[in-house]
Amino acid sequence: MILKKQASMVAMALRMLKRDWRSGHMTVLLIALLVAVTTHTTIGFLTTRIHDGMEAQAATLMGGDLVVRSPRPTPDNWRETADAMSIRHAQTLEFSSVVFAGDNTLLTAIKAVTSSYPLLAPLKIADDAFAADYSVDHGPAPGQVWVEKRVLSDLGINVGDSIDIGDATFMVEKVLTFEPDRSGNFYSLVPRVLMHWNDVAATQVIQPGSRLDYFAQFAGDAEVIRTLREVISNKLEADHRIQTVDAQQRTVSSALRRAEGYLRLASLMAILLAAVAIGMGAHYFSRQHFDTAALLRCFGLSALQILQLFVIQLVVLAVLAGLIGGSLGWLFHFITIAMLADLLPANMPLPSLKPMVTGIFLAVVLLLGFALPALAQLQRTSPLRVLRRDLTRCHCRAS
Amino acid sequence: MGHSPTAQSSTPVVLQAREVCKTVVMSQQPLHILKSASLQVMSAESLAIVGASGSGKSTLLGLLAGLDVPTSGSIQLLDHKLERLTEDQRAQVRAQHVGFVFQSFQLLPNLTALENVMLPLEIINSHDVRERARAMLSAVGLDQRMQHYPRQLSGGEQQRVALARAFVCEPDVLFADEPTGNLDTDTGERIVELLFELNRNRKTTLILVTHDRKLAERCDRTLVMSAGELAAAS
Repeated sequence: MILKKQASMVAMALRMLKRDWRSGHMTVLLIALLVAVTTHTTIGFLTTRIHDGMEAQAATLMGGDLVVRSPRPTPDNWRETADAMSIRHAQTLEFSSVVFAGDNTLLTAIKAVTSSYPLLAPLKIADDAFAADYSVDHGPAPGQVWVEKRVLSDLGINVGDSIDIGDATFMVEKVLTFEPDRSGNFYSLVPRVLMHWNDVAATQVIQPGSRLDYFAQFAGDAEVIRTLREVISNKLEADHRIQTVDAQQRTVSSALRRAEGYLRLASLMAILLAAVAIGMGAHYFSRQHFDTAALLRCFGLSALQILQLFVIQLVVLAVLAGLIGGSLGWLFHFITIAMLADLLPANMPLPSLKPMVTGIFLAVVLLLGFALPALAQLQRTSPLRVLRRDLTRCHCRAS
Repeated sequence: MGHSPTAQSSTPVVLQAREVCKTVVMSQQPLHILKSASLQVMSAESLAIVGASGSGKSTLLGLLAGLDVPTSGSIQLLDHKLERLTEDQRAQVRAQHVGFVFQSFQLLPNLTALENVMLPLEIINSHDVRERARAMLSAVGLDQRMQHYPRQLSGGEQQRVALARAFVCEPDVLFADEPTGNLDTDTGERIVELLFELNRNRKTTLILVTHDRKLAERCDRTLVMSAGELAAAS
């Protein structure tokens, strides 16, 4: 019996919602909700997707499943151990140096790599500054360098010309367009020059006191990498820094959390503005429905049923707004990803639908939170208002 | 809908008010709107309450219909002593036994004529809601206006919709507050004809409040309200 009554209330609420929608009373509320939910879900989908994508590619971003960073060359016996365990390995050295092309000079971030580099993801290069790039799974050969486009324009040279690094001269063979393990430190602000590991000695730029970053990169199955890590851990010196996928993921998470914080702040402003619009819309909605509420009470609905009727309408409206706003958020996040394609990792996995669920929840909480006070006034509408229009609140027991 | 078995079998009296008073406090002074009003209405009877504006007749109508409660005195509608009931219990009594027609029609502007008539049936969760509402609108001559909104209807048509809405639940008692108050003379007369025809056909008890003497003369009995006091018409 109670269930039947509740079902008839829901049916009546849906009919009223349809009629109110037709009359335009819900438009302001729906638009405000859509703004809030779309903003929330766009940012939600975007950050979830970037987060998941970067976590999945944490090893690629590091350059290996296990990386040891050091200011000095790492011991050769680490690589011998790795060879014995069938673990692939490579070495890189990063330092800054001024390069010369005739009278022109440019501060660059030089990276010297061994022949086995890169281990996990390919480099991308182009044949000249304006050609399409393509992937390669090796670095430059000895005597040649690959440079970023900025190096060409700043030094006024072309592919095929020569540059000097210290005492050595190199031919610029390719334009470097993508480097999977490029770190976000100081060096990333200046243009990159990629050279072969064996050419470093000839430049004579490595002097006592030079600021150098050696990276020993290892890639292989998780189990053998764990074993190698245990072996290496016992031999680590004070200035060796071991980098793992977990640590890299934590770094990515932390950086993304900070970025997400700023985005959420912007989203919060949009939600607050939407909340003000919802409050005003709900006030308008309740003002439009005093006569309806009085008539419904006159015809026999209780105060609780009046409240139920309007709350059901608002919850349905909120869920609809959550679904539509969530879908718009899904669409807008694709557009944003496309706009930021150059800055983000490729092939990021699709995000989960969690932002959609939180979007619906947000819509319900916003609508009920800001509309309930106005609805409570409807619940207290006196049925006597059908005879006296000046009455809003019930004063049935007034003497 | 209809009288409860007890009411039908025990007495033809549908409504009885005894020593009903209504006092409100305004500017910290008591204002006596209704002074010891008593009346009795029999089943299928039509009663007019006439009086000048501000005499208290709408207040009395609100009390008799259970929209408000008296300061003192008692009102019995069928089996129900209204002053002992909560607002929600009185709402149930209204849903089961009472219909209303208002001076300002009180149609919901965002509902079509048909939906306005369906509304009280939906509240009592009646069966065949749409068919019954359609039949009632046909009965008041609005077959062609069912999908029109109130703003698209004339005053007379709106009051016809209001009559259809009042009678569609087949109430035991119909309360009408100045049913012709917002209509011109000709339209008002046609509405009155329709009101009494429906009242006759459906044997509804009719209690109407009006300052229109001609309308009052159509009723079986007339009471006059003056300064909050009720008296039989001379």
